[in-house]
Amino acid sequence: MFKTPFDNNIESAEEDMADFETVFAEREMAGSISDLNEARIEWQTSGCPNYNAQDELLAYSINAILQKFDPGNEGKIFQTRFYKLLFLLNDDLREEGVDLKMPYFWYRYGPVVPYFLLPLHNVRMVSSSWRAYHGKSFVISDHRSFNIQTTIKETIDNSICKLWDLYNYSTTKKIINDVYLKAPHEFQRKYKNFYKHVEHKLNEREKLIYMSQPLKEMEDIKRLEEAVKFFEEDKFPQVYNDLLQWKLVVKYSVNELEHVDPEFIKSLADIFWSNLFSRYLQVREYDNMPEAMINWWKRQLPPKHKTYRREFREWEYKFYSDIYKPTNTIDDGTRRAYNECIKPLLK
Amino acid sequence: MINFIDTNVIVGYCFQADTWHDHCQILDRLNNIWSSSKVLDEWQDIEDYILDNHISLINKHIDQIKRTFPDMIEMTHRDRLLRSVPHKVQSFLGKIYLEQIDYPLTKDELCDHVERKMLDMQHDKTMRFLKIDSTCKKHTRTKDYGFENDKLKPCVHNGNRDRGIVLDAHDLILNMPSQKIRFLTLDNAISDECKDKIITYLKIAEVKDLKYCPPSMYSR
Repeated sequence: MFKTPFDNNIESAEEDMADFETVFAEREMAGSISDLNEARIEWQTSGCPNYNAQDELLAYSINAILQKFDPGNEGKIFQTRFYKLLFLLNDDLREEGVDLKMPYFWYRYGPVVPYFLLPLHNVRMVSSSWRAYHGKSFVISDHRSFNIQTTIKETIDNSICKLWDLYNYSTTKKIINDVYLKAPHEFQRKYKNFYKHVEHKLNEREKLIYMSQPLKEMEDIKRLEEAVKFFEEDKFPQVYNDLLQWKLVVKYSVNELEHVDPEFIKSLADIFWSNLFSRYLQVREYDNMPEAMINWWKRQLPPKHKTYRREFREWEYKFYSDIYKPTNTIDDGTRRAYNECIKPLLK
Repeated sequence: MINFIDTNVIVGYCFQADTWHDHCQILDRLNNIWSSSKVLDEWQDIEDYILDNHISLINKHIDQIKRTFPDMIEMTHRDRLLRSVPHKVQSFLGKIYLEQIDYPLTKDELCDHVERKMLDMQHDKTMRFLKIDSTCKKHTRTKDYGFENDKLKPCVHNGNRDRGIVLDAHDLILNMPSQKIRFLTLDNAISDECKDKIITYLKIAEVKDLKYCPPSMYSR
């Protein structure tokens, strides 16, 4: 059965507005470059030994994708598009029983394929001369032959043809959506769906209010609750407490969507995902990454977690001081009962 | 006079549940209050501890209700609700379920009710912290703080924690030699066992244990 990537049962008028899905996809693409750059810097900082995925099948696949999607070798494949295509190819071939041994890990903006670990000996990264794209792209600098079995070569070629049919004329949005279909956790899709809508509403808030359109905050709260419902505590027990506390503060902030500082909500809505969850995700959902890199990331988790809590608390303090309106209905008995629970912890 | 406050004084001031909460309200009447980066670090650690051992229990309980209870919560569900409450937060949630909820209600309404109560309590504590934080100046130990009197070590033995905080106060007064400093604490180890050594070796004029100092003892 067809599964929509950002499954959204909540229909609303906002969907008819500017193509915010495209805006979201563009942001994801730009974000994936920052993910990649961060990984490259960490790779250098960690002092990891020289490592390169030497797999011939992977080298062939890289060349074959470039040749298929950019037959003139003009630098038409923008790097993020290239990485996403490579990821989709790797996934498809795995189902066909071919293992490219491609290194990747899931992070803030989807799967990251670290180009600095790929066998790119005959491939160059260039500043794109192709008008439609800005940034870097890849070209083949030196054509070479590959020593691989004909049947496997055919399987790879067929898979690339399928990709070409699907994506050669498609938008970035489609690739992003299809890549997220492969995300290992439903929470990833649900969270992105929540964030996408909140960001859109904040960007369009003045217009929506001017047009007397309701912001429908409850829909966003439902999306948030939905994401949390799909969170797998058993897979990420280390961040479950943080998730629930973050959700609580986000929920009651989104409730005031019409009034609050947009940057506050955006940062708050993003902080758990970007500064905490994604760090645990990258050491759990990866393949063919050098062990030294994964271990280095794991060693960084405790201090990063502590830093996250300090950062989150600043947002929490702002929430309590500027946004949350207490009900003032707590009677003395409830207060005493609450204090009774905390008292043993303060000794 | 500089009033340098130990972490436990901030805890006492902010948490109503603290035994010495009333005594710590003296902070509202004091001027020239200082703390240090170590004090605030320790405060953050305590906040983390409360999050993991108290707030999270309530959050998890709410999450469990959302995942496992039917959309409508009837009176007949009350016992199941009570049984699902973690022991450590039983008195708080038990009181809500037994005395404050009008059954039936939707699951979302029930969860919102509990969340609101919890947020209100956290709001209280946070606002008190922000109040003291806004009036309190923070000292970070200067790089050239070079010596630590060895005689102090066996006394305040909690390494970088308690001793570090006392030394922060010392460093502060070294940087403000024309002033006097009073160290406010609720820590027996500091106030009873080490008080004399701290006063002798660290240029700290007074060590006051707020447990024994009712608010009326202080002048502005």
